[in-house]
Amino acid sequence: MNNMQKVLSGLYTALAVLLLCNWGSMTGVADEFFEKNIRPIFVEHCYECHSGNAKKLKGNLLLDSREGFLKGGESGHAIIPGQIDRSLLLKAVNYQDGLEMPPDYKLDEDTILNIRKWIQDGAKGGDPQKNEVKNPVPSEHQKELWALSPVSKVNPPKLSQKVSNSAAPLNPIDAFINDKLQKRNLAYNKQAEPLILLRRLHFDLIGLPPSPLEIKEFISSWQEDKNEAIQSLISKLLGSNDFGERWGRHWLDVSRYADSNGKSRDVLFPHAWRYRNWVIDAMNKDLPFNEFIVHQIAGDLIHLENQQESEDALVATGFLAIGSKPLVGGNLQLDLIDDQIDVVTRGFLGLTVSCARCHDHKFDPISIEDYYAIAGIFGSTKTFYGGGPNRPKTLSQKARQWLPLESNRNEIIKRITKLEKDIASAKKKNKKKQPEESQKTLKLLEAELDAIDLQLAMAVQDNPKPSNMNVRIRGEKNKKGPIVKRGFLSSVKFDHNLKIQNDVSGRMELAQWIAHPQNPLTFRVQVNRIWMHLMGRGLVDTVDNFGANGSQPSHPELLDWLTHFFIENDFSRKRLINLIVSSEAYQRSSSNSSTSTEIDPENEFYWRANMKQMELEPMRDSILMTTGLLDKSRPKTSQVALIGEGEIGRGINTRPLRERFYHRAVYLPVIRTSLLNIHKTFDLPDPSNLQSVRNKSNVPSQALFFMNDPLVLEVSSSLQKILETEYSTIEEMIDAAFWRILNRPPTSSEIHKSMSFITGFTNSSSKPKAISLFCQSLLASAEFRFIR
Amino acid sequence: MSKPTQNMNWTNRRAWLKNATCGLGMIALADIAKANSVNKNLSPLSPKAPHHQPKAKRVIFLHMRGGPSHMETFEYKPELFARAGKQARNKNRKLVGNNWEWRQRGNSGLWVSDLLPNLAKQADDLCVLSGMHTDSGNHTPAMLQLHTGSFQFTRPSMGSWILYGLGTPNNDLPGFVSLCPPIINGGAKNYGSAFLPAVYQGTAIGDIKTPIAKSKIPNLSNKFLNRNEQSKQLKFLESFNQHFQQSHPTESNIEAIIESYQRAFNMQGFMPGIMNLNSESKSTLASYGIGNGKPSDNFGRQCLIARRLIEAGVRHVEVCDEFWDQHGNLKKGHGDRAAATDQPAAALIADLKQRGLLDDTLVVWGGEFGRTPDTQKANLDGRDHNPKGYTMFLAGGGVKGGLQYGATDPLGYEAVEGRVHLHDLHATILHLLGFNHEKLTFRYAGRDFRLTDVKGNVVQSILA
Repeated sequence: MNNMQKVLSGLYTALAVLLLCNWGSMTGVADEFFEKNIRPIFVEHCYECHSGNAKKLKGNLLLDSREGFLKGGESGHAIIPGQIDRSLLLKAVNYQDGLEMPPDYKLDEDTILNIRKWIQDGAKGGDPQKNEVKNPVPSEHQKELWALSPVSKVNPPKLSQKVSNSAAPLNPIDAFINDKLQKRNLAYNKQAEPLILLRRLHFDLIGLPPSPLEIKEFISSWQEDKNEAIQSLISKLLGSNDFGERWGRHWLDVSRYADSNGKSRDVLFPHAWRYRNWVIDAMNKDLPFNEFIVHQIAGDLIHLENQQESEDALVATGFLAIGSKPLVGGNLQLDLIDDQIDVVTRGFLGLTVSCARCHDHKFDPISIEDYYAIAGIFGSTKTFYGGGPNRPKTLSQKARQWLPLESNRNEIIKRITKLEKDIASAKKKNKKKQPEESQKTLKLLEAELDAIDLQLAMAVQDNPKPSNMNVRIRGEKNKKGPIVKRGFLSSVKFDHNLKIQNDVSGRMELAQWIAHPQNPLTFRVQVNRIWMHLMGRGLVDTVDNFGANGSQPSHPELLDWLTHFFIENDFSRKRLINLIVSSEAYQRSSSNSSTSTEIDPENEFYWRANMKQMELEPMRDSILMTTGLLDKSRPKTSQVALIGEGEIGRGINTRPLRERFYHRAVYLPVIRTSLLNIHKTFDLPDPSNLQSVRNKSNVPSQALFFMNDPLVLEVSSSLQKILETEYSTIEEMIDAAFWRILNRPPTSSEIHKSMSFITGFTNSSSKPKAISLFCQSLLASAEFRFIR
Repeated sequence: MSKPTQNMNWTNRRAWLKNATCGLGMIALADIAKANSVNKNLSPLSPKAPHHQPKAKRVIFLHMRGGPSHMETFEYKPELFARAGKQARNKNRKLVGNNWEWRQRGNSGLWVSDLLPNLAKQADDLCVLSGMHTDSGNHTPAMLQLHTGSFQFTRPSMGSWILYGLGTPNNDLPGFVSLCPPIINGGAKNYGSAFLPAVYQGTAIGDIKTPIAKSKIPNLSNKFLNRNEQSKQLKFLESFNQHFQQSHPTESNIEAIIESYQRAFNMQGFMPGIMNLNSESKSTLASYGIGNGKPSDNFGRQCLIARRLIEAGVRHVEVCDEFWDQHGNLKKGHGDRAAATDQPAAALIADLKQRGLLDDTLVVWGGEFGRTPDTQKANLDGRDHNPKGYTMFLAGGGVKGGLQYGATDPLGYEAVEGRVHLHDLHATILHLLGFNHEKLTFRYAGRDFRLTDVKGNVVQSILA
C-alpha cells in the first residue's frame, strides 16, 4: 500500500466507524436477515453434504458455521463478505465458472438474489464453531449463557503495585478494578475534591443536595479525619429516610409503577400508592433482597403473626397488579399473565422470558413450554386491579374488585353487602309509609356503612383451583397445544428441592426459586443494577438483559465476588451500597486525563468516576430544596387517590393532578396516558414497560423548562427574596447562590462574570429581577444537572 | 413567517458541528476512538440518509378519527345501494343505501362522492387504497395499531420511527409534531417514542378538545422577560456552560445541553410565528376554509400550520379531526365531518402542489378503520365499525395519482382485491421515505424491534 492508499483506507475505516455509530442499532439486523433468509436455504439445500452432521462431508466445505463458510473448502473461499465477484458460493448457485450447486437442481431466482444480497451486505450472521465459543460454559448446550453458570467463588487479585497511600485495608473492589488498570498501564484519578464527593454521595444516596450547613460540617470533619468524615457521612445518608425515596424510585422503574392503567382505557389506580410506599419503606428498612423478592411475588402466601406485617406483605404483591393491561380489544387474561411474567423474569432474572410466548426464544434457552409452565402459575392467581372499565360504585363492589387488607375481609364484605341491601330497602320504604321511623333506620344504616373504613390495595390471591396451562400455539388463545406442568425455567439449573404441589398456584415456590441463594441470575442482576446507579454504568451494560443478546460483563470476577458478598451479607442492599461507595473507584475524580482518555476513552476500566446526568426526581427536588420549598413529609395517599375511582378523558376532576405539589418527586402522580410535563420532558421511562436505565436526552423542551416553567420561575424569585433578606452586598448574594445551587463557592472569575451580569441588567431593569435571573441561570446550568 | 430576531447572533453551533464533521477524517487518522467520541457530539436529531433514494422526505397525516365510511366517500357500491333496506348477511341487520351522489372525477375518472366535493377536484393526485384492512374493530386498539403498528404492546409511533431514521434538517423546531391529538384512545402513545430515545417523541400542540388557535407548547414563553432580556440571560448561561464543558471535554451531553438552549430559544422565536397565520394572504386562508365560525376553521388552521411546519423542515406532522363515528345519524355526522375537513384537506394538497412540495411530501388520509355496509338501526341512518375493509388515500410523495387500488366485495364488507393491511401501509410509507422497513430497527429488551414487527409488504403497484 502506498501512502495515499493508507490515508484513504484510514478515512474509509473512520467513515465506516462513523456510519456504524450513527446507524449502529439499524445495522444490527443483518443476522436477522441471515436467520430468516439464508440459514433456511443452507439447511434445506446444502447441509446434506456441507455440515457437521453430513453423512459424508463434500469438498471439505462446512456451511453450518460462520467460520466454515468464511474459510471455504477445497476450492477456496466460499464467501468473501461484501465481494460478490469473489465469492465462490454465489458462482456455484448461479451455475457459473463450471461450478454447479446444488448439483441436482438450480435454486430459484429469488433465493439466489437473497444470497447475493446477503454477501453484498457483508455476510453477517451464522453460528460460531463450537470450539470457538468465546465463553466456554460447563454445559453441553450450545446456547448456554454465561449468566447461567454458578456464581464463582473468587478471591480479589493480589496487586503488584501498592494502590493507595491510606493505611486502611484495601477495598476488595479496588483490588479487582486496579488489577485491570495496572495490567493496562492505565493511570487512574485521585480522590475527588471533598465538595464534589459530598455532592456526589448526597445525590447518589438520597437524591438531595447537601444544605449549606451540612457542607460546613462535612468540611470541618474532613479536615480532622477525612476517612472518618466520609464514613460517617455514608452512614448518615444510608440511615436517613430520604434514602428510600431515592432508591425506591430506582425499583419503581423496574416494577413499571404507575397510578393508572394506561392503554386504551386509562382507568385510575387510586390504591397503587400503597405499593409505592411499601417499596420506599422496604428500602429504608433494608429488607433483605431475598425477602423483597418473595414479598412481591407471593407476599399473600407468607404466614406472618403480626397483622401489620402481613398487610404489608399483601401490599407488596401490588408488584404483580399494577401493570398496564389491555382492558378492551386484547386478550385480558393472557396479556395480564404476560405482563406478570415479563416483570418477574426481566425484573429479577434479567431474562426476556415473555419472548417465548409464541415460539421458543430465538436466542436464549427458553422454550415455549417454559413460558407456559410459569404462565400456569400466574393463571392460577387472581389479580385485583379494580373494575377496569366497569368501575366499582358501591363499597361492596370496591371491596370485591380491589383487595381489602383486613384479614377478615370476607366477613366485612358480607356485612357491607347486607348493609347496602338494607339501605336500599329502607330507601324504598321511605317512599311509602312510616317515613319517620324508616328515616331513622336509614340514617343509622348509612352511618354504620360510612364507619367502615376499608384499606383497599392492589394485590393478588391464589385461585381456589390452581391448574396447569396449555401451550398456546403462536400465542393464539384458542390454538391450544399440550398442557405444561407448572414449574420454573428448565435451563436455569441449580440445587434446590422446590416442587409445586397440585393444590397451590406455585407462586410461593417460584418466588423461592428466584430468591434461592444458588440461583445464578437473581443476585448478579440486582448487584449489577446497584453498581450501575452508583458507577454510572453496569458491569453488564445491558442491565435488564443477561441473555444471549445482552452484553458480557466487563469485570466478570468482580461481579461474582460482589454477588457473593451480597448473598453472604444477608442480601443487604445498604451494605453493598456502603461497600461500593467506600471504594476508591467510586470516590475518584471524574476529570479527564489526556493519557488515560487516549487508552480508554469510554472509561471501561473505571480509571475515573463517570459523570452522571441527574434523573428528573433529584433534579426537581433539589430545585425546590434550594429555597426550602421542598416538603419532605410523605403525602397521606396519592393525588390519584384524591380523585378516586375514574378514568382519564371521561369526565373526572383532574385538578389534583395539576395542583402545585411540593412533596418529593417520587410521590408525583404517574398517569400512563398523560404523563406530567416534567415526566415527559425529563425521560421518565414509559411506565408500561420495565426499564431500569434512564434515557438521558437533552432536548429543547428541557431548556424551555428551565427558561420558562412556573416552578423554576417561582424558585428563582423566592431565592432572590431570601438572598436579599439575608445578605447586603451583591457579592455575598452571588456567593450564597453558588453554595445553595451548585454546592460550591464561586471562582473569582465567576464572581466577576455574575457581577457584571447583574449590574448590566440593573441598568435596564430592577435589581430583584436581575438577581432572580442570575439564580435561574445557575439552576439552568449544565453543572447543576450533573453529578460530578 | 416571522424571522428570528437579531438577538440570535450566538456562535453558530451548527457551523461548528459541520466543521467538526468535515474534519473527522483527519481526526480519525490520528485516533479512531477519538473520532468516535467526537461523533457522539452530533445531535441524535442530525439529518441522516435512509437506506435508499427516497421519494418522500416528509409526511403529513390527516387523521380522520372514528372511522370514515368508504361507501360514503371513495368506493362506489351500486350493488349495495340497489339493495338498500334489504336483509344483510346477519339477519338482524339491514343494508344501508346511498346517501350522496357519485361521480367520476378528473382525467383519471376516479370515483368520489359529493360528500367530498373539494377533494374530488384533486382526484388526479389521489392514490385511493380501497383494500385496507386492520386487526381490531375497537377505536383504541385500532388507533394504536394505526399509529404504532401494535395494540397489545407499547411501541414507538410511526412519526418517532421516521424521525429516528431521518433526523431533521431544522435546528429550531421539533422534528415530529402532532396537532390536537386525542387524549383518550391511547393518548400520548399515539405520538410516543416508547423505548426509542425520548428525543424522537412527537411534540403535541394542543389536544382534540382545544381548538388549535388556543393551543400552546408548554413553557414556550416567559411573561416576565422580553426577548432581549432572555437572550442576555442565555448568553450569560452559555458562557457558564461553556466553561463547564471545557473542564469536561469528553462529556458530550454538556454540548447537547448547550445546543438545546439554542434550539429552545430559536423555537420560542419560530414556533409562535409558524402558529400565527396572520402572515398568510386572505385568499390562502379562505382556500383552507379558515374563518371565524366556519366549520372548517379548526381543521383548516391545522392543515395550514402543517404546511408551514413541513416547509420549516419538520419530518412528520399529524393533524386530527374528530369524530367520524356515526353508528346513527350517519348522514348528518359524516356531512359535518366533511364540512370540517374536505376543503382544508383539498386546499393542502393543492397548496403543496403549487409550491412544488407535493412531489416529496406524502399526504396520508384516513381513520383507524371503516364502516359496515349494514346497520341495526331501523331508519338505516348509521353504520358500525368495520376493520375488514375500508379506504385510506395517499397523495404526492412518490405514489401514483388518480388511482383506485383494491376494492371491497360488492357490498363493502371485506377487502377482497388489492388488500393492504396496516402493516403493509406502514412498510410502504417507510419505503417511500427511503427505508427498508425490515432494517429500520431498534434494539430493546434483547431484540430488534421495528414498526412492522414481523410483517408488512411494500405495495409495489401504487408506487409512481
